[in-house]
Amino acid sequence: MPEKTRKPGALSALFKQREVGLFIILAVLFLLVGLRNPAFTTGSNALFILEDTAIMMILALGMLCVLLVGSIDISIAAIMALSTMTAGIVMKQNLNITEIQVVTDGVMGSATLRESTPLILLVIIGMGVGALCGALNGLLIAYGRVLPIVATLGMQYILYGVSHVVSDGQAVYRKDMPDSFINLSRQAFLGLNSKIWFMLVVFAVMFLFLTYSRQGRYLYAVGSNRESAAMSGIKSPRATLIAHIIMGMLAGLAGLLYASRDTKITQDMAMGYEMYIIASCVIGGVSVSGGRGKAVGVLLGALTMGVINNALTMLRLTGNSEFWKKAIQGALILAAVVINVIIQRSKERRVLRDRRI
Amino acid sequence: MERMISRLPKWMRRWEWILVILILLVFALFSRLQPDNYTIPKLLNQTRVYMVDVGFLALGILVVLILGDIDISIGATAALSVTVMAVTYNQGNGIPFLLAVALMLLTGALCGFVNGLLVSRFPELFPMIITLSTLTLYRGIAYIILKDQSSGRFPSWYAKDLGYGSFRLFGLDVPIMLVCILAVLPVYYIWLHKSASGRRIFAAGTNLTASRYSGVQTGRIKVMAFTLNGIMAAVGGFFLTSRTGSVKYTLATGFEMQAIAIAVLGGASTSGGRGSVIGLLLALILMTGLKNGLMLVYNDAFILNLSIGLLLILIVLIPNIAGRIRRQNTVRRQRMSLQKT
Amino acid sequence: MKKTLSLLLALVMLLSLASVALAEEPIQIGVVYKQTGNPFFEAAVRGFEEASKELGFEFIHNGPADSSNEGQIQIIEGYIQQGVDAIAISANDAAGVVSVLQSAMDQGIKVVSWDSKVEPEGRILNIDPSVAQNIGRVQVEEIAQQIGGEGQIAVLSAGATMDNQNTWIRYMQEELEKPEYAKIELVTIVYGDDLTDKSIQEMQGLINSYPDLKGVISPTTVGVAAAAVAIKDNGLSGKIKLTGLGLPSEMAEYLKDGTCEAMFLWNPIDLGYCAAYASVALVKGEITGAAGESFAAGRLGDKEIMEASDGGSFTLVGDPFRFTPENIDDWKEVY
Repeated sequence: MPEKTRKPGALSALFKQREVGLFIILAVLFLLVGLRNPAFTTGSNALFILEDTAIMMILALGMLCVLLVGSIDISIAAIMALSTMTAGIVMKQNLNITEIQVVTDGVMGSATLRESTPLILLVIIGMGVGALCGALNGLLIAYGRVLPIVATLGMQYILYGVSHVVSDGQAVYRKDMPDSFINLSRQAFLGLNSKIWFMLVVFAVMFLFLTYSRQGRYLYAVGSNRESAAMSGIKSPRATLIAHIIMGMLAGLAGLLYASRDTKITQDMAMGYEMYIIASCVIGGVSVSGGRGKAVGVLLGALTMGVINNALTMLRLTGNSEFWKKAIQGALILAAVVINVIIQRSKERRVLRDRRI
Repeated sequence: MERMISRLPKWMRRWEWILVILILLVFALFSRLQPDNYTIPKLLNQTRVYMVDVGFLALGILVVLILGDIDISIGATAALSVTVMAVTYNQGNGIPFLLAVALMLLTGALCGFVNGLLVSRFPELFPMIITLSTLTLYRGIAYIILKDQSSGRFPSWYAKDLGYGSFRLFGLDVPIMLVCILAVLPVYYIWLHKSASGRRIFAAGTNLTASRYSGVQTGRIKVMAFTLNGIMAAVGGFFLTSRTGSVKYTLATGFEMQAIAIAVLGGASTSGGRGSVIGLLLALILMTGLKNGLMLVYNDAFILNLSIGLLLILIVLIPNIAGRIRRQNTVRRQRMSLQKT
Repeated sequence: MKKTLSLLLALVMLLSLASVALAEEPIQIGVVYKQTGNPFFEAAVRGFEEASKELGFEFIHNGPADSSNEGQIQIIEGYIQQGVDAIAISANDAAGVVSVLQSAMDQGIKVVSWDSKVEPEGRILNIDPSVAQNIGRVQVEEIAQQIGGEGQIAVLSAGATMDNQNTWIRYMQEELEKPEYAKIELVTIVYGDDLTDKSIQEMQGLINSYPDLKGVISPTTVGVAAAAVAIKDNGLSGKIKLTGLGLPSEMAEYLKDGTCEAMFLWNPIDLGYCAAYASVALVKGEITGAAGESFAAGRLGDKEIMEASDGGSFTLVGDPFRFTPENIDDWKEVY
């Protein structure tokens, strides 16, 4: 006699999702901090957090692809630096400054117009160089059989070095940038900052790619079990390569937004970001061994990091805003990861229990 | 080429000889380019800069790598340990310096112990992730203690004699720091390569489950290895501070990757089961010589790192490609011999 | 008799050859600054270049990318190995570089500090850009005048271990204790480490945490530029007043659009130029760096060496200059 198993309702299935749990934790955190400092829970502050974290989110989405295939990329910061520096050199060399007369409030004054290579071309250059770097990583890892940590570690050194050579030790400052680039991260459409729009577009594309496209599903397959994927005819080296190229492209894009926000491009920019991004992914439920992770989770993970950062600033914990940030970040990653394990173990136990032997 | 290599006696076919050749090449190249500055006495003096502090870190991480694990928190461990030493000495109402040093070693051991405990208890999590979080944790604690300030004012012998002092040996000035690490190396070698406990570490790294079934206490070994790693990190930080004279929470940032690079160049594999103390020493010498030479010629930190990265990748890549070519050749030869029949 | 004469002749020839050989060795100076990618120091290097053309010395220059103490120590050790004659340094950590500089001086290398000094045990002479008290005072005066004499202000500094920052901030705090500033409150000092990214974040943190903030002083070129970016991005130009030490080339736009009404700086080119002349004078033995001596500093005239408050000796370059929207155009191409 078959047992009557209760069919889980749609709502409880939803709650079983990791990401929903994370979202709830995030919302609770948000409200708690708001109790302490009402300025925190304003719409404008929430928007500000989103804007601040948007660049991280784009990078984390790229890292998601890489982690899904069971690889890792420590060189993303270096890719950002090199691709942005390349675009920076191009825009610096083609810069045209013109002084024009403007009339403001009936008074004659002068304004400077800065123009250079068209913005779209700069974006293509940045993302292109990024894709190239990602491809190099992918080739080394997939076809050269070099371990991802070693390959991307070496590439990190190499790419920062190339960035230095390309820039000849010079940095690119605001005065070397065209207005179009400076405004890249500052324009607002429909009330939302351009960085948020970029992030939303990347997220939408990534979500569709991973959920509905064949190549996207291949990433999950290769990460879960390389041999079975190979048996099923999926070329795992190719999937790894594609994942790294995507990472590189997004790193290029993120680098341009970052440089636009800071109005500065230095040969060593973004050093140290890689760990932050990996942490965001881990909190968001991505498994480092591959095969598990969702775009939504990654966004929430990056958002959590951003909220904590902002909360600490707003709570004014003794003067310097970075006071507890570092330690709490570490504790957070540890907690997230331990919770991850507990959930995993309980899931396995449940699966074992539900088996009818 | 293959036949040439197979004709060499077994002890010469080892990885370390490539390192020796590279060292000789580097030395020849740079002493030609900068004859006045790239001399043995000057180089000996320069070993202070890199060889000792990163060297100790690399020795620690070597054991962890042999086990097949990884630890990226060693820089942070070093920072925290030395922070403890600096703060207890400066604020501690007349605590003797040696006590502060002992506290530093204790902190390092503790940091390593926590890492080891977590890694052995949660095998599903990757050591990468665990040590990633302890990295931010330890540096964060160092930040809470020091904030943006730096702490210094150590006894004068620390900087003068340890940091910049040297022995006179055979007419050369040998830095005392260098002697310290060279004294530790033979002990390390004997323990890791010749003793039973060292053998167990290699076994655990090669196949964890098989070793456990053979009675090797893998959990305990992991904890011990990480604790040792923590102590070595503290020692490395100690020597680093003797030269820099002050401690900031950013101490030793990026050193973890350099230590791993040295261990890997010396023959360790990140998947475990392989590693060599002699190789590590040779890799250290090679890296110091290379760094120094490049710095003299280019006066540029980035070119340095570029070459290190290139070297690291080539060293790992070339055997892989060579292996692939060899396999393709074997397949082709087999096919050809089949055709003949 | 002939033998002695020929021996004497040979000796004289040898000596003259030796002196020619020695004279042909140009003086080499190793310049160390706080970080690369900073236009302030790029301008200072131009000062060194100008002096090197006039005096005929060679120099190499470098700085760590992350404005770290360790990075500077590595560079100094490299210079020692190369056997430079003098080291001219703007230090990230006044105490941290003392050991390595002492080791340099033990080997006969002359050490001069400029911009941000090294503790007296680690240097022979310090080149101060201006009287430190004045630097602190004018910035406080300026911000007080801009915010109308009352309100909250904050300071966005560079590194907590940088001596010049701490000295100026100390003088600012002393100045604020005067009765005419009783209604002004210095709420906090934050550190951006002269990293643009971090400085922007710190400024944003100030904007978020202190809604009543009326003014910000940033006595560092990286900081004041970052603060301007943050203020402008938040649409607060003119609502939060900004002043500090800024480079005209970086800040010209912000002076024109009202984000910053006035700021100060001295000429970093002159600073480098003076440091170069001082170093060469030390190497040639024209001065020993003691108070009371003086040396010729090219187009800057004669510089007098005075006793410094920390027990060492120092000399001054000039006074801080006030940049306004009216005069900024004259300077934005210079540095």
